[in-house]
Amino acid sequence: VYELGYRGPRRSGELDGPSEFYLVLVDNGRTSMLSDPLLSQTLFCIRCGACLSACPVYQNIGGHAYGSTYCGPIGAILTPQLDGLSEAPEHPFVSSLCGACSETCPVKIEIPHILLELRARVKKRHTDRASRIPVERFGFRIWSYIMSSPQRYERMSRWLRRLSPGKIQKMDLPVPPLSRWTEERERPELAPTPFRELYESERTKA
Amino acid sequence: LSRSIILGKLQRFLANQAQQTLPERLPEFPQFDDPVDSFRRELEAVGGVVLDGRHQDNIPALLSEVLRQAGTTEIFWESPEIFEKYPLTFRLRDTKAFETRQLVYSSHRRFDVQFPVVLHSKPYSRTLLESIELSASHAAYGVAETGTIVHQVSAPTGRLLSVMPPAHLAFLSPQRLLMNCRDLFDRPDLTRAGSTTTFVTGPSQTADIEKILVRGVHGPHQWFVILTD
Repeated sequence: VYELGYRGPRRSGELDGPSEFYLVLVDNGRTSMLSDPLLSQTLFCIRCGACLSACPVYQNIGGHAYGSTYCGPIGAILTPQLDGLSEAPEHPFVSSLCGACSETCPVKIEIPHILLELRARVKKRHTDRASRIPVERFGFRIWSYIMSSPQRYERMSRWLRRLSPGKIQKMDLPVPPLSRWTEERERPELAPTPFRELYESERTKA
Repeated sequence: LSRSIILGKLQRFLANQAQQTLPERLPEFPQFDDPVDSFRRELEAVGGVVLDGRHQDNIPALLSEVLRQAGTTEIFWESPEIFEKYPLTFRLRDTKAFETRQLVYSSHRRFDVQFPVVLHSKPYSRTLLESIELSASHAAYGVAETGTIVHQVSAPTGRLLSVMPPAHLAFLSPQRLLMNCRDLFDRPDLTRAGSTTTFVTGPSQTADIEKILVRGVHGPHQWFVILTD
């Protein structure tokens, strides 16, 4: 294992070393990262790659999917900070937030927390592509309306279950932007009994 | 100037951080009753080999052992000290070679210790460097806490010979074996002497691909230290 300390060019009488020595300072947004207490942790990275080996997302999509020098969990937080959020707005979202990366990280970078912070910043900038497509934006607005209340969610799932599961499976949406979803995606099968009811019945049994 | 902007920002942010995060006192740096024992333990844990040449004058025998383990009959030196200190028989093709700081090549046959010495002038040729199997150097310091050897370029040996060949042998004086890293960085000559300081802990190893440990990719895969006064 090697560590090197350089103090300039070769001096007279020395056997090895360069005759000229230049030190180039490269900022690339690192000093701005340093000013943020949470994000500055990213700079602790020693490039060991342990988070890559631990990451289930990286293991499935591979390094090229990150489209930059740094891949895996550390790439997901480092690339948007070096290149700018507008250049890499998808990077903070390439994670299931399982936390395996920060568990294995030898310098204990809180990668999931940084991912969440970067996601919030991307949202604030309105640069994410999904919300720029009106139909998709409308769909997600409905989805978030249903998902943000337990009562609404239950009513909706009860209504969907009344349609038989097979019908939902085969239901293709005819209108172009939506049919692109249904043509290429398998719809999940609905469970015959929802978890809420299973949980209730198990609880009353006990 | 962008330099002053970058350095100014660094100074400002680090000053704020230092106040928050610096511990009140330094951690305990270990001391050892037998620093040689600790040095040996640490270095052997990372795959190095420590040979003790302190008490009896067994340097020729130890050199034979190193040559045997490295599987070669030749050692490359840049410094004449080892020849002056120990009664090793050697022959110089050019008697002024040591004065002109040229590379010294010593050949050793059938593991009986005789060192006929042939010289090559710098700059080393590529084929010569590739043919070197074992090189030797003098260590500026050793650290008992970590099993680390410190090389200074200002010392009679340069850097090239300690990183290029697949096996390397460092001579370390027990007086230059320090207890811990703080003792090392307290030495004023560590940062003043020479243009380059190298800290070497055992043979070169890396595990950056799939966490599989591989030796000798970026440097020697065999690392010997002979302790001698």
